[in-house]
Amino acid sequence: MPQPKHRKIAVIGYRSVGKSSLTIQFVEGQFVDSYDPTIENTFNKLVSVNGQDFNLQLVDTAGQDEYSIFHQSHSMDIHGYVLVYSVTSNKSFEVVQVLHDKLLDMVGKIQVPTVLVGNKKDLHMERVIKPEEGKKLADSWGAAFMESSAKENETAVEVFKRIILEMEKADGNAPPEEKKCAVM
Amino acid sequence: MDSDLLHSPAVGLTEEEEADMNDWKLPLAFMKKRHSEKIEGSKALAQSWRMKDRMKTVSVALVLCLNVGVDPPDVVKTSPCARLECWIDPLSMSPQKALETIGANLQKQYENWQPRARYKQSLDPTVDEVKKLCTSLRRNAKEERVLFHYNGHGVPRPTVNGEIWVFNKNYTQYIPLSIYDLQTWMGSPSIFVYDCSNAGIIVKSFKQFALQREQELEVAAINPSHPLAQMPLPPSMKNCIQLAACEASELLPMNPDLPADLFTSCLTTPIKIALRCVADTLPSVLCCVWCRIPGRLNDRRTPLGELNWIFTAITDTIAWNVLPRDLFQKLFRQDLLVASLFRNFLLAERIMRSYNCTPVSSPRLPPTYMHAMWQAWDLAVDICLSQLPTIIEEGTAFRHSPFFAEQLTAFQVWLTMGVENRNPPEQLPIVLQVLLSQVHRLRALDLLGRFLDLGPWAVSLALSVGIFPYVLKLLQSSARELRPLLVFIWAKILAVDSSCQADLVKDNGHKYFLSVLADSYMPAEHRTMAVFILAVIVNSYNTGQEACLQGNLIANCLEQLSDPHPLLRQWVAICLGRIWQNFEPARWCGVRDSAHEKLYTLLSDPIPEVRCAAVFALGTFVGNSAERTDHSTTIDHNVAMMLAQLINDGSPVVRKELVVALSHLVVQYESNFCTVALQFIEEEKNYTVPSPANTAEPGSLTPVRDSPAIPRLRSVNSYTNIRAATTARNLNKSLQNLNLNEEGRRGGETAFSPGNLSTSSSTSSTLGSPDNDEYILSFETIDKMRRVSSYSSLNSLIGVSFNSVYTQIWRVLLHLAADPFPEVSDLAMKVLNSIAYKATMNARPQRILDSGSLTQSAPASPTSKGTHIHQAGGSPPMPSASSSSLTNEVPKPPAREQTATRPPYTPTLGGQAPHSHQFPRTRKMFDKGPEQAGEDGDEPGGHRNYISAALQTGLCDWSAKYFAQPVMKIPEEHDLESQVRMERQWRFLRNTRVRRQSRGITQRGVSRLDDQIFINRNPGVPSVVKFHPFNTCIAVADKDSICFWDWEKGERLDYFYNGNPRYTRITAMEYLNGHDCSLLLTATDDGALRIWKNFADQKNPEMVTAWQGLSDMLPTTRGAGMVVDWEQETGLLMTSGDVRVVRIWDTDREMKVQDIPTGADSCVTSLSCDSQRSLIVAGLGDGSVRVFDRRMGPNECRVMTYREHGAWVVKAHLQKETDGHIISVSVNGDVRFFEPRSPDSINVLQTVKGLTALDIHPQANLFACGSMNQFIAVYNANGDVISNIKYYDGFMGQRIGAISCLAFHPHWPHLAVGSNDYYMSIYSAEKRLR
Repeated sequence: MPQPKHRKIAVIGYRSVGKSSLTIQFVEGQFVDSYDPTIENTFNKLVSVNGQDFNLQLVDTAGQDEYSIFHQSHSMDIHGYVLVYSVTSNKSFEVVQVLHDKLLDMVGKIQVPTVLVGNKKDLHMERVIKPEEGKKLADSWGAAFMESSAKENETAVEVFKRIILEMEKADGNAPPEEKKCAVM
Repeated sequence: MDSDLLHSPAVGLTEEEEADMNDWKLPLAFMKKRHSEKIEGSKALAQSWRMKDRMKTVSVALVLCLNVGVDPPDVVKTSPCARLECWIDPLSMSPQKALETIGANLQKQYENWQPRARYKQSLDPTVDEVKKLCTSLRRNAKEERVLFHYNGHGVPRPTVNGEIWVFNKNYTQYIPLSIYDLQTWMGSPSIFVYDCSNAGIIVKSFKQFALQREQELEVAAINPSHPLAQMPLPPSMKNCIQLAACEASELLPMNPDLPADLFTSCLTTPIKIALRCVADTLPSVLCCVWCRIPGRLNDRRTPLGELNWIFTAITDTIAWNVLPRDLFQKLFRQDLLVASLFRNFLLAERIMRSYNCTPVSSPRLPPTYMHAMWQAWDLAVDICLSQLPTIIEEGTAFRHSPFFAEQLTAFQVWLTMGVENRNPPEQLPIVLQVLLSQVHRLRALDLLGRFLDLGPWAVSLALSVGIFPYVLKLLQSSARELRPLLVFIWAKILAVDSSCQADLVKDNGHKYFLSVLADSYMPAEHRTMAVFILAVIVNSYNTGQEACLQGNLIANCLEQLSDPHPLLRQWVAICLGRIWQNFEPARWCGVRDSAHEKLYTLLSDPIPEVRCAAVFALGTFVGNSAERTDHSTTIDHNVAMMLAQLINDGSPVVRKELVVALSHLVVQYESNFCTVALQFIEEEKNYTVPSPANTAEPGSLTPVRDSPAIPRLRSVNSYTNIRAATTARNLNKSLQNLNLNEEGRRGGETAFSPGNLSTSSSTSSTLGSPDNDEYILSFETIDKMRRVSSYSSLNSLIGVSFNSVYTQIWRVLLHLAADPFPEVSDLAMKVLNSIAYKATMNARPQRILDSGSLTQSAPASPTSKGTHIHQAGGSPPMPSASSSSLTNEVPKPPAREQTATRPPYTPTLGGQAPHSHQFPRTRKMFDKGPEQAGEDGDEPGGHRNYISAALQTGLCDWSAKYFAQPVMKIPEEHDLESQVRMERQWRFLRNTRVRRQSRGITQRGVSRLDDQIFINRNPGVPSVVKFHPFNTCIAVADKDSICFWDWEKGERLDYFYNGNPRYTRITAMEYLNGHDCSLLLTATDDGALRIWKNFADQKNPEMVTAWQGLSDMLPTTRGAGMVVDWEQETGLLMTSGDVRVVRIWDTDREMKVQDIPTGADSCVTSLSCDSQRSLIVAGLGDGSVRVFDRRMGPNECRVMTYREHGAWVVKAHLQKETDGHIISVSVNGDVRFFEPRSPDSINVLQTVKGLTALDIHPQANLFACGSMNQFIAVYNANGDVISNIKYYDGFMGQRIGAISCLAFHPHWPHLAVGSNDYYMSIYSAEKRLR
């Protein structure tokens, strides 16, 4: 059995887009519907993706806006980023783009393992951002994209599986299926 | 006028000009305050200044949410950004250390303002921690105030939902804390300080929640079953105070030069932050020293302390000037910490507004940041800072700020300049601050005194600013130079708010004033104020009485009784009267010092107010409700008899006080008086039926009266008290037979009297329903009793006891009940009636007994010492004299056990008392039924003072007004520009014109005087006519009314009832103060004098004063009534008439000064005096003319008697020149001229016979005779007839009537004539004179 890989992931985004909800849904399997703004919170979880165990450390950050100063600690020792916006908030979609720029500035790379998440997809009535817009933005970053709802455990799990895959990809560990394909 | 003439008035002035000058010098009579004001105290001040609920902030919660190192997500900070928290840079140490240091510093900063509170810090707390903190503080604070300080610099901004933020346990999340919950935990009263961005939101939410709570409370109150009512009621948040750093939309300033907690810094370290804010603008030398001002904040002598003191003074001043009074009281005077925070809040507003941040408070304050006082603050800071380099570097001495001295000067300017109606002085709170400083204290007290002198409004203003504790504290100072100032200030305060008596006694303040009073070096004015203050302290306040008695007040006062300063005498007497009012130990102390005997001298004091005060003091001396011994009874009797001598005092104020004083005696010896009253009632009853009055009554002497035997009701008139009218009613059935006699007779008569209709109807209607009536004794009953008792020898009928003190006092009261001044008689009626009521109620069961139904209660004998005698005096039910209580009250049987409390009856009294009237009380229980006993027996002492409580003259309160009003102000009439002065000037100009023009005419010589310039039918037969000396008004009196005519316009100006009883008539009139504010004096043949004002000018005539000028008028077949002569220059009034004396009254003192026996057996018919020569000339009914020299003793003062006239002298006139002659005339028409030094006449003229009236024109040397034979003849000095008038002008040419009176105008050659046909006509030398 291979040693579990240690990975640290930061969840970043505008205020009240559901960063903490998503994280807690993934870690604890429950939905928190009260809103208490997060100062900063770190969760640990052991997950297995494609037979590989990952010891995940999730940094649930405080909500930021376009003027916030990007905290230095969020650029160091982080393997992957989950950038969250809310499909019900234009503002959060704009902010997430600014945050991505700041992130790249801070880490000094052209690309980091990133998943762009459009959260609150269950709120159909209030949706203002179409999936295509998110997809388009993610493509422009070369990042993965998906929509989620923190109320559903599957999508939360899916988000974090996806970032693991992205990180693996960046590490040069292509997913087995692809490898297999390549072999084929 | 030529200046030469002014220098030598005696030489240069003509007689006329001299008279004009004299107008200014002539004294005015009856124009004192006691004549013009109602004798009552000023309205009590609503006590707005005294904090009913002084509070303390006892607990403080310091909640800091900093989370050092992590900025809240919603605040974007500049870089660099404001960082200091409580003057500490949190990043200069480890986060935890920083947090703790900041918390400790904040506590220290608060402790500067309130060192004794319980402080609790809560650093980066969770919701639970805050809850625990708040609830525990509230629990400990109970009803006191709790402060909640919230620093939200490390958490998100407050939400619009009404939440502020704290942390979770792990500091991973911001947890909201609802303001609603906070309110619940904190309770009320509380104060909240929010230092965070958007703090205004919290204030708004707070108010919303408070409103919600109110509504919930209401719902719960209305509907107890409502679920809300089941829960514990939420506390009301009305009394909570909030201070927030900024408006709802504002962020805190991030300027790196400022501390991050700018608001907190302003609130808790105002001087430091104020200096910090000016530091930027300073020149570089000072840049680094601003924080190094030497000294300590709380030491006023150091630079820093002085700055702090100035800051306090300025912020306090701004607040006082800008805030509404009640808000100022609540925020700046109720709670020390709250006051400090709000003062500093004013600074916060000023500083933070300059950084675009608006601090918010609830309750909201008006904006203060632009107030001009801030400039004084800037200057003070500048002056302080400019000295710093030299002080720090060279160690030079610090020069004190001129701030306080300058502000005092500003206050002084305010006091000396400007007008009455203006805004209160801005500097008042500073004066208060300055009282604390030795340097400025004297000046500040002086200015404060001058300010308080402006009137009661100034006093309440000063009290509301908070002066009270300061001046109370200053009484502990021993500095002699402060004494006059403090005495003055305290007199002013107590005159406005007498409730301070308790504070003074509590702090031993009375000792201060006792020592001032005893200090003979102190000017009399200040001793007067000291004794006034003491008089307030002992006024109806037992603790004060005790304290002052121990301080030897009585001996102290007695020593000053003969001080030359009248006001001091007055107040010493009032003070004495008050200290022993219902306070037995003081009375006994007074008895030991023979205080009452010392007070006797004041009963003849020249100042009426002093006499009054003495009467008051003696009244309370006898009116003490304590037990009596033989000794004290004797003293009471002595005092009563001394008081009784004032019965004919000239001042109604004194007589009113006399009634009250006697009423105390009446209450004290009620049973004795009941006995006397019954005797009088019985006597009067016996007396009425045979009606011997027809022959013996004094009223029957007047020839003109309609029906002599029956005294008339006093009639209602606009000016008289309505009560006077109702005095005629009768209540008691037992008295009804007595009254029926009168009712029957009165019926036919009422039609005669013009002013009488309303009364007569009311009496007849009330006869059928006696229950509604007020008085047992009607006026006429009392009047008859009085006259019966004075003129018939009833002693034989009643027995020896009738002459006891009680009888005499009863007579005095009867006499006073017929006083010409309505207020006096009303008061006396009240006293008489309350006793008569008691007496008759007590007498009723006696009849039952007499009929033998209750034989077991035998009449008490004086030797038996039976308790049922004494209980009558123990605690008798005392019906009030007022209508309501009299009608409703049933006699209250005393509780049985009381009957034993009375000490044994004194044999002297018992011996005097007729037995038959002595045993009423126990039997009344049978009469009324026993169930009443329990109901009323529980307050035995309550009734005793009923009369005395009801009866008050208001003299003391009225006298106290003197101190409430400005004493330093120059009287208005001294102000050349004042209205009063202008009016006076106008009148004197008018007088000059009249003198000059009339002199022009009379000097040319009057050759005829028969042009009828005025004729009108008077409402009554004219009995006296009197020209006003200068205006066109003439007064015409008939029997009991006075009519005013304007003889130029020919119209009637006024007609009013003089108020004299029916069987009397007006026999003389005089204008007093004719040159200025005219008063009219009327004299009636019963000896009463009345003085009126406000007549003849559309106003309601008012009685200024009235008194019994002559008493004991003698009955004669043909009376002269009362004659008077008035001398304006000396204020002396000579009175005489149907008496054997000439009585001289000093109207200034309102006292009789002299009685000159005429030595004749006849009445005086005419009086004339000349004070220059001290001569008085009297013409008498027996034809003699007598000359008196006032300077000689009563036996030799009659210096000349001329017996040349054979009959009744109509007029005797003394010319007012140094060698003036006496001119007299008798009914036979012989006019005789006498030279006072020669024993025989020097000239005789024979005029018409049957003369009824004559007058002599003082200027024109004319005299006019009126005859009963229906004509007037006018003679010149040679005795030639110049005119003879027999017919009225006009077509019909009707014959004139018999002349009843005539009078010349003192200046114009006008002759007014009244005749029996009701006509009043005026004849002049020429038509259309003007």
